[in-house]
Amino acid sequence: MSVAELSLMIRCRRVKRRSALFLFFLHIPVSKEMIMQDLLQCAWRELDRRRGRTLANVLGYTLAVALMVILVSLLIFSRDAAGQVLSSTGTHFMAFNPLQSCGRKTGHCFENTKTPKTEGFIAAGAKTKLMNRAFMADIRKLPAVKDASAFLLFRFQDPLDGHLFTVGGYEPQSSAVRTTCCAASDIIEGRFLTAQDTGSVVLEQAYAITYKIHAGNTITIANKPFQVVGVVNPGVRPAKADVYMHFNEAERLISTRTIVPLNNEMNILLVEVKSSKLQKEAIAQVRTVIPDLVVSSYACWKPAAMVMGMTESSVWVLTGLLCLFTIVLALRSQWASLIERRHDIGILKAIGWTNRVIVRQMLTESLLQALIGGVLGCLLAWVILLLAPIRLLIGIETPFRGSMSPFVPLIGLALALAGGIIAGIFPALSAARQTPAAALRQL
Amino acid sequence: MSETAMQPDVPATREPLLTCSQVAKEYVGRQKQVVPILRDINLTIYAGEIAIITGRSGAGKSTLLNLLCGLDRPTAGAIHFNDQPLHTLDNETLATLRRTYIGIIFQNFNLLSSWTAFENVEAALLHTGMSATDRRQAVRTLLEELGIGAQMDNLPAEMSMGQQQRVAIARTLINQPTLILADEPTGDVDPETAAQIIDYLTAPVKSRGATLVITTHGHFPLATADQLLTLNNGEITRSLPDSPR
Repeated sequence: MSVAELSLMIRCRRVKRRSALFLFFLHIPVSKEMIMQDLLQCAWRELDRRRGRTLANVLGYTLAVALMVILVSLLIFSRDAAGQVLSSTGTHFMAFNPLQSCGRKTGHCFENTKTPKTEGFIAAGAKTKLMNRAFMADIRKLPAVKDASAFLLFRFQDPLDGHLFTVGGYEPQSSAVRTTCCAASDIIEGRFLTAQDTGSVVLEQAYAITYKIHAGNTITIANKPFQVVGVVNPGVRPAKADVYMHFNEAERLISTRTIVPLNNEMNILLVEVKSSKLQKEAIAQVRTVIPDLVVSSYACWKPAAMVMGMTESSVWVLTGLLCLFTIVLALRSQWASLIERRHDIGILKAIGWTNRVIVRQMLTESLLQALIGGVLGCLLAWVILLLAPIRLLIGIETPFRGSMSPFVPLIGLALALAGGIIAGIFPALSAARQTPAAALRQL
Repeated sequence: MSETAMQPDVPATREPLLTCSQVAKEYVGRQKQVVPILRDINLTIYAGEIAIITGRSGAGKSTLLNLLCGLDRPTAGAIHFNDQPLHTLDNETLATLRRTYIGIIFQNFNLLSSWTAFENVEAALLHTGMSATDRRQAVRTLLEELGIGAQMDNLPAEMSMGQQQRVAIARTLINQPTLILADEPTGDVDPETAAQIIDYLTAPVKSRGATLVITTHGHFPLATADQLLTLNNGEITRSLPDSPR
């Protein structure tokens, strides 16, 4: 290099220096003089030479990342499991218009039954009026609503012995039915109704026991015979009936007992909400479509949702504290390493290593430790999640899948690398600030 | 060395390579007291010459060398290397200058204690863009020329003082610097080793016209000097001879 070239280089360097810190992070592919291979080789050599410190740092990152991945995986699993439990109690409701609120355009204003004293449309023990099924399309589009279904619940009186029983007509394809009314998983005898079934019903367990009816028997409702294909025990559900059948069959059957035949109408609306936390919003949104609705649900979604939120928040806070703790430890270790190596850094500067090289060198060492620790942490977490009795630890009956979302280890790795940068950059910049002569004077 | 054998002697020229004008250096002590180390240093070192700076311990020889290679900055005055003002250049440029043009051999060698002899020498070539193969070949060749090929995988602590000195020399010469600064290079070695070291250091001057600045308190043969400077209490009190060889 000639003197003229050197002068040019010096002038260029002065201009570049102003944006050096900014370029430092964006300019990793480096110029010709900065060979990544050299950086990695030196970093690896240095880490190898200081095995004790390196192992301590890597172990710190490993444990922190493993703990974080495990915590977040358990949080996700716990949330899913709790969501499954809450889905049977906290994410659904049924809505109806009581007969007393007549006068609106949403339904008939008369009882519409031939024998109103004993028979009629009921919900939650109250007589209801009918609503147009056309509203269903609008309700299904509501942002907080996952699915909605029309439901008919009619109380019959048996002409032979005069006992009262209810018939529920549901839409078999709707998922809202499964969480509010009955589902195939509730079957305790026989089988559940399929979409192709005609002239078939399933009975509620208590009704079947009371009247000694079993799967395979035939019952008569409104002079029409129905084959009992199964018995269900839906447990706690808002919309329960003694006899369940398909909506269309219920519609035809009930029409034989009404003054005016049903015309695409329902008396109950079954709604499944997207999340238990959105239950309140969903009810409000449904009421914008059909005003004056009375909602019947179970209030357990409120505390359940709150508990879920608390658990989630506490895990994230714990994860944040864990990351902070790891970074502080790594920073302390890197700083101690810098103090040990100040003299060495002075020597390297004296033989021509630039500050940028020194900073990158120290940052590479820190990042290598973080990367190795991060990868090992993910592997450790995976093994623990696979082998440990997670169900017993967190007390959830749902079987743990033993796998984790691919995003969780990626986030763990990213956090480890971020920790590596933070832990490495401050000691590195401190090393760069010192003049070579000052560094050489330190032993 | 092979440089001597392969290349003809380059005659020294009278172009100034390194100049100091009214250079002063002070340190601030722990109790904020100012400690003057160097005062009003004026000197000119010409390209291709050997300059010897003598002086008693504590006279400021090492401090002066640190200033001449840009490891430290003067409190006052100006230092120019090849017309470049070392006293105003930023640290990055100074480091690049040292890597490319200036080599320094420290009194206590300043080898990296956890790096082998080979790695210590290779360190001067890292991040220069040279391929790993070429770099390793160059280091191996030079260490063998200096007679420490067999010790290249030893740590400094596993080597004698003379061997450590040769590693330090190899680290300096590997980049073929224009200016070589050596701080008491023969201070701690036996006369035979000292003679070898003098040969190693003067060979680049003879072969390719490098400039050599040496500080000593008397063990270096002063007759080899083109310029002899004496530092006394931070000031240059004598400057003989001041003529090319």
